[in-house]
Amino acid sequence: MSPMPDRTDSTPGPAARDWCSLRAHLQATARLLWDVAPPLHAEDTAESVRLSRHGVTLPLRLDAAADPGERRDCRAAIAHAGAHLVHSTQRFDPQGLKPITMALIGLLEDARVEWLACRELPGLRRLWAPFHEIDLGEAADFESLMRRLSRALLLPEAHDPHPWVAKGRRLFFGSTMQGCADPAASTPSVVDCPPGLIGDPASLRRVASLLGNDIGQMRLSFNAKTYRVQPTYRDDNQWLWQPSGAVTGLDSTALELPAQAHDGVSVAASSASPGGKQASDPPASTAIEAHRLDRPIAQADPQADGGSRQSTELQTPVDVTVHLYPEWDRLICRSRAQWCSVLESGAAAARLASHSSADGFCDSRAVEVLRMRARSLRAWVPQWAEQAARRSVRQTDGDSLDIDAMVECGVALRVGQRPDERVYQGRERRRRDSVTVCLLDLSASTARSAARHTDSGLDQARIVALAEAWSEGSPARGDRSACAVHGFWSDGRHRVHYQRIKEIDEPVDARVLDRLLRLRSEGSTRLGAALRHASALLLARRTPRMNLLVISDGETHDIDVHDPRYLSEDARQAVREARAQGVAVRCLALDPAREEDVRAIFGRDGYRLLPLSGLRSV
Amino acid sequence: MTQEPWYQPIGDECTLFEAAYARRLPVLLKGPTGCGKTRFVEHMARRLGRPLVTIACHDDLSASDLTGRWLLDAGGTRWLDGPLTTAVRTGAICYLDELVEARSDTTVVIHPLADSRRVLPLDKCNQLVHAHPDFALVVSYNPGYASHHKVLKPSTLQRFCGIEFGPPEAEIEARIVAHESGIDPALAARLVALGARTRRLQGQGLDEGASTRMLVHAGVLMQQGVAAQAACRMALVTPLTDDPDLAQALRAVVDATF
Repeated sequence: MSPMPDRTDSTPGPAARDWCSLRAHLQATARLLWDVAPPLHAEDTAESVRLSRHGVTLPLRLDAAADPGERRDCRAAIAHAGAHLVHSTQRFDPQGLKPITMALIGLLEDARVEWLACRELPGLRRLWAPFHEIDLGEAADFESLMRRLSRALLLPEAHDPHPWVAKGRRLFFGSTMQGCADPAASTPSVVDCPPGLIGDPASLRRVASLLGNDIGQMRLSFNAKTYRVQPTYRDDNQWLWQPSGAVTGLDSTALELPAQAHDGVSVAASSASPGGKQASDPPASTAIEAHRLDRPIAQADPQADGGSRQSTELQTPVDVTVHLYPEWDRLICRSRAQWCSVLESGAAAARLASHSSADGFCDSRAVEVLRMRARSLRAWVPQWAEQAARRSVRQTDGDSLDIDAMVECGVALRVGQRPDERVYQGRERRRRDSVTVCLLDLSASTARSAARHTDSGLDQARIVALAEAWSEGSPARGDRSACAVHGFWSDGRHRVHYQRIKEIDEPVDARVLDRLLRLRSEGSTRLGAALRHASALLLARRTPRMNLLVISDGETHDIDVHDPRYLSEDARQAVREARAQGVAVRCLALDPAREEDVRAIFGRDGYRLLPLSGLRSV
Repeated sequence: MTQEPWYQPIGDECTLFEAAYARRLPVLLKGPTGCGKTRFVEHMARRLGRPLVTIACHDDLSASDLTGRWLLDAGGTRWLDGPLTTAVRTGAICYLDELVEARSDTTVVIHPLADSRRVLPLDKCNQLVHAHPDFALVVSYNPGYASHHKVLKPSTLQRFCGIEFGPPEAEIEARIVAHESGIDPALAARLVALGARTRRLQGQGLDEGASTRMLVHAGVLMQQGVAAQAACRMALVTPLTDDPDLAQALRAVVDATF
């Protein structure tokens, strides 16, 4: 499956961010209301909401995504589309149907699923009702009558004097309406009386034919080319129709009126469904099933997969180990199991060796410069918070008396011994054992210099990693702190290279400095897979404090992914998963211009921008 | 405690607990927050006719806080039993709530009590307290938000029999919410359906969905005269998330429910 081109995501700036925010809200709403997760798209050229195998496409201008009114409209559309996904379990065969009948079937199916939705979630009626405000005094043309019928079927209290609307309402609610509602008001009780037609979608076809016949008798014109489903929150119903083939669960002998019954109807496109059907769409049932969360997705096609499924066939050096990790697919809101291959190599890996100079180590002057610059940052490196508050007993001073020490003191006095004077206790925030992994982004984009920086991103990453590494074991960081320095770059999902540069227990010696200096920028940035691997390495050590410091420009990208938001949202999910397991994840952002991207991945309090002053002072 | 706390069984947990208590086996209650673990222990203690000593564990809880310490008074030193020692001597049921929050060196104190020895060594006063025949040990923890470095050691876990709790079935949960809050059963059923919807976002923005306790709180607010939507926003939406997009989605489903 190739993903639907999502132009909205490639648009940078506040508008795209507003859309991302709106989409997150709508996805959560769809899950909460209906437990469905259709991919969502926005198109400013779309004429109406569209439900297809690609998900839900909303007619939305990006710069309006933050508008409260637009957000409400989209919420209404998602609530309606979700109701279809859950309750529209049958597809209709368009064979032999007139366009006007198809339009009426669409309206009746919309009303049916909304009735079922409101039975479960009565507040949805309040959400949809404002879209059904109409002027009963306006001319009764076909489209006006369709809007009035929609309103009459959604709002039980709505009164409409038009006989066609009343007939539609009577046919829709069937005998139930007479049995349980006030006949004068024609108001069915939605709670107590499930109308017959609602549980019998096969009859929609017959009712639509009857109502279509009446439209013909009234000599009202209908143009299938210009007809648009109303109100606007409802989708165009294209997906209701089978492209061809057998009827599923429908009565194929259902009544179709003879041609003369539609004499008065001006049919502009008799062979096309209202709104224009796309023959290339697969059966809608396939699309719907893919969005239902109780369906497995293992057979789903890769997301923009330009690589090959060869993770187990990679020709890897003997010192490289392959680890498989899942990846979050934002379009289906699910993780794809064993999707990325992380190739982990030790400090002596070929990549470092291939870039080594002839004499082995870098020259001492470069090392010394690196050392000086890192030292200037040592006071700045993030102080990992959440230190443990512990009671310190037997102190020479403190907040309160240490009862046990006092007792021993009293005992000692009574037996004539010299007492221990340390009888106080207090609370101190002591740092627990901690392990920090500095994860360097070694992708090609770090070869550039960020705005106002003279160093490349990689140079800055080196310095900060070194500052962090040198702080291990210092009193400020906790005596039993340890630090590892790792790096990553990627070349498609089957080759996420993960390089261990400094091991956890390895001192920062000339060899480590040499490895740092020999790093180079190349490849892409599949951050999520690298984050998952670093987290797994940390979790394996089972230390009380696990810190992961990502040093990156925040530009996620890979050669086999064309959706700009895909890897970013995967990284965001990876951060969320790591934090849920107790790993404190933070980012040091190298490029102020990409601060928004970094914030989206690591959260408002999960990142810091690299200080210019710290680097310039050396 | 004069009145038996109301408890709605969601399975055979009462029978299982009684069986474990009959043989004085220590019991581990595992489940998400607000699912009724503490209420269950209170109910069972009352049902079995035993006093209950509850200790809320935290990471500053020392072994002395559990076992006791020496105090000074006019006559000299005096030993004061801690809550665990009191329970051991008097034959109470000792309930250590969220044991995983306590430091591992503290939890080791309960090891001799949780195996066949059933003794509590008090090294500071050189005593070995044999547990009262009616003493029983019950601990609880929530595996959902226990982070990786906060896990119970196998040597602790393997001393316990476990009873797992989860969100009850909708019908039972509605009965609980209706009873605890006093609201109409139909309204309680709607609240429970709302709670089940919030659990769909678990792991996708929410650490945990709405607990039964939260639903009871919402019901209590409604019973107090607060409108249903306002009560749910106060009791469910605001505590569940700080994310504005998620909060808006939760408000939307609250509005759709009522």
